[in-house]
Amino acid sequence: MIKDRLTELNKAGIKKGDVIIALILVLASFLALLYSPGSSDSTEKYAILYHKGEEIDRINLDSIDNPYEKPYILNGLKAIIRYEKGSAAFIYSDCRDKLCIERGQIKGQADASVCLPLNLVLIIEGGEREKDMDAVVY
Amino acid sequence: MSKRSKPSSKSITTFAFVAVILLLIVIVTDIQGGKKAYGKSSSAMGASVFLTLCGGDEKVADAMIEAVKHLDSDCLSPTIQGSDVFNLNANSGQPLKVNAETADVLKKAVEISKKSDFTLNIALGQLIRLWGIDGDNPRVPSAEEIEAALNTADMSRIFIDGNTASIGAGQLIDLGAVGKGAACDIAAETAKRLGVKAASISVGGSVTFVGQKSVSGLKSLFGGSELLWSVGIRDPFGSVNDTFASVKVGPVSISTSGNYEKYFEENGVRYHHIFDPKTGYPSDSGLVSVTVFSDSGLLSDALSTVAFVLGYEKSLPILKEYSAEAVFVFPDKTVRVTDGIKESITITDSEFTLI
Repeated sequence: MIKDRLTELNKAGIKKGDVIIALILVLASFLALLYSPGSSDSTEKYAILYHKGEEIDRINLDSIDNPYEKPYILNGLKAIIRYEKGSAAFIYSDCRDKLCIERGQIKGQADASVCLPLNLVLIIEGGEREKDMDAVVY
Repeated sequence: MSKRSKPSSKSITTFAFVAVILLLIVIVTDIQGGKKAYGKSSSAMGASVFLTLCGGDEKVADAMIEAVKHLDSDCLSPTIQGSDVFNLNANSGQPLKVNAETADVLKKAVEISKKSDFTLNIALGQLIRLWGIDGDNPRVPSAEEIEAALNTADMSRIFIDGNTASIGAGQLIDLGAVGKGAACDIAAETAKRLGVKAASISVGGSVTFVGQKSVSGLKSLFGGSELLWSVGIRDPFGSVNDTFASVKVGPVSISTSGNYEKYFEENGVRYHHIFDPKTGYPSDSGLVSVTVFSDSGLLSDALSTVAFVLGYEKSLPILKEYSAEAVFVFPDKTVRVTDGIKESITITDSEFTLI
């Protein structure tokens, strides 16, 4: 039956090779659809630090080979953030509650750590999502 | 007049073949287009802001973030000099012109406050300042101090007429119970105005989903659940990374109130930041957290506070009145949900039990 169809197509000016290329193209497109992670799910991962809503630092977490600690002094108050390959964490803050330190490492796309007394917000942009969720409510 | 020639079967077949190939390419491209999204993060209201736009770009995301920052710094912040709330508090007793957004938030908050028998109270600024939970020196005030602070919290002294507002002399307002939800609303309105069909907006843990997850109608060929958003609910006993449940939702706004976000401990007692306006103390209604789903960010934010203060049974009528759904978490890790959410919630942590 397939042979008959190919003969028909051949008569219509479409060769067997054309059909195979077309089928390969369509199949490849569907495979790309199935395996593509999507543009927002897999990008370079950055830690971005905001003070009073303004970006004050941006670190490419993918490019870190050796972990390091970076101090920030803002309005006389100090915070230290430890940057590692793929993650960041407050490890010191002059705030009272230390909730930012308790928060620990953040590493997934759209993770955040907030030090409210120092008006600091540390977020992760890019990278993979930690969970198969569009957002987390808290 | 020349006779028009009849198309040959060869040209018809070639045309049909090319058309089919083009159609398949369009289908694949369209479905792929549904997956593509633009993500942007920022900070406003002392919190993280995360945006994911389907069908939007950096300009739209920037406009959304600007709208949130405007709502914070020009309208609702109690600490930024020059904001409407800062000015109202600094000039209590006097009518002032405010931004339209401020007037809108105040009107909505007052309405919910009335319907909740003033369980939502935006005039608790003196009480919040007294406890100082956000500051460096939180403390448990004396009963006399609490009574004096509550005497300033009469919501009937707040007036809004058009874009003019006033609060009672000596009164301080604080819109922390509705601010992040209102921020989600203004970001969502901006996105829609600029043509975004689907978006995920998160401001400090309050979330609004605009439209369906995929803008491609053809994607529905692969199953209806693909069109729903998935939102995780934070484990109130764990770290911020932990969730105990996920819920499949359509376009909706979601907020959680819990006793784990801001607190201090004294003599082994945890004092959290959500106050019962009837007692002046942190609410103690037997809940660890409550998550509310409704069609507005401000409403979800406000109702999560109301439900947290009222507790499970007492909050059901007002949730029903606003057609809102909720997930309640109790200290023994049992979970109760309203009827409308039973089919869409999945408990992902086996330590929690849905009853």
